[in-house]
Amino acid sequence: MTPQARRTGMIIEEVEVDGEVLLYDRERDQAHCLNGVAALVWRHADGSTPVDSLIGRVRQASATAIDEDIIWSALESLSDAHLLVEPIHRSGAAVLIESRRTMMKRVAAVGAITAGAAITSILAPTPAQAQTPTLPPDPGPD
Amino acid sequence: MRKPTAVLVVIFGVRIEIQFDDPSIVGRIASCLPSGWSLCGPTSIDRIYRFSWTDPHRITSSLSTAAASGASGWRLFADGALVAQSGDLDALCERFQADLELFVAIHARTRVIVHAGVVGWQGRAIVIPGRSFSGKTTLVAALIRLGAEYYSDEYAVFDPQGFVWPFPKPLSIRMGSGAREARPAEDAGGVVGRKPIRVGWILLTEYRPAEVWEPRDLTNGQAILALLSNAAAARYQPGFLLTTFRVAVRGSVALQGARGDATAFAHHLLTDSLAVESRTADLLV
Repeated sequence: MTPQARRTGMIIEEVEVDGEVLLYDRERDQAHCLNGVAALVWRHADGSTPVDSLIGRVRQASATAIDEDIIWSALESLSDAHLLVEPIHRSGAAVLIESRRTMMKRVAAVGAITAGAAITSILAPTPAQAQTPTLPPDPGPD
Repeated sequence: MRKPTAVLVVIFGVRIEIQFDDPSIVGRIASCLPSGWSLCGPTSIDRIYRFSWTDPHRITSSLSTAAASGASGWRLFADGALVAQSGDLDALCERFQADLELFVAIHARTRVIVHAGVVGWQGRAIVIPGRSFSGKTTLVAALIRLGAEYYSDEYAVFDPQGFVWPFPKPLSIRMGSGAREARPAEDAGGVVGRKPIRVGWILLTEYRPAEVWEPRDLTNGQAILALLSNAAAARYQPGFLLTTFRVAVRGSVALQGARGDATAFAHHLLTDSLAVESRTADLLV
């Protein structure tokens, strides 16, 4: 497995504090905030580095020790959020990951900010959703 | 048919033409324009509005539907499509204002507009993003009664450098019937902010009876998502918005949590909570 970060159709903004990265997926109108670890994993997912090597590189690049399971969890979260070109899933059962269904629930509510282990996601609002509804003109007394 | 009078205005980089048959209503229409508008010369126009008084005896073919009702009255068109019709010009102006504000919020080129209440406090902005019925106006009114400067109860207007600008409209108080009543901020003892300021705090909160304010910290990235999720232009100009928000949230504190009574919460916020958070932010900058 050589995970590759999806960049086509994405708008990328880096936030200075704690190495967060913001991604806007134009295809799905979803915005994601990757925390430090998820951002590191996303940056190193170049499509040619096997997962074992990627884990090593992420650990090298991180200022703090990162457990392998956390890196796998980040990969799974990136995959579930459609932020990898090809989906990826770790074989074996002893891994704490969120299911795709859970992930989709997390992004289903427009404007609701929900945080997973590594990624916070929202569904961008339509203009009407972001606006105060206007009441129709008062018809006056009956 | 008489040629309509036209006024061309620009609002945050959006060019609007407003046509009307009756020049006597120009003052009423101008009162609907959001702060920050100015007249502009002939140029490519983003949207054309037309106010038309329709007499059923002199109806044009394009208004055949309206003519079927047999009633005279005002009609508002946007880019040729009927937006609203009413015998009451004030009611039509309300629809015009709402339609115009939404259009500008989506297409603004020089500002980013977020559905949020804003007050100024100690030279920095408290931004309260949120949808309708989250209690923004009530909280803004409570904050200005305690000395915060009024910026807006509806829109946070950001420039590309991340400053928040005043967008003062009368406070839009929701009455028991669900209708709104406009009240000047000064009536609530408020002082209107005049100059653009940096963001100090972003509060993601909504009213829940008897709730105790126990917020959780949001990261800068999560604060940006909170602003994005209340921006009408989110799907239209996401790159511009993310870039602006990234600058705007720098050095600010973002908190999320439910609140109880607005007055007690505002008092706690200004005398205690934000003072602590402010000191923390100063250490982080």
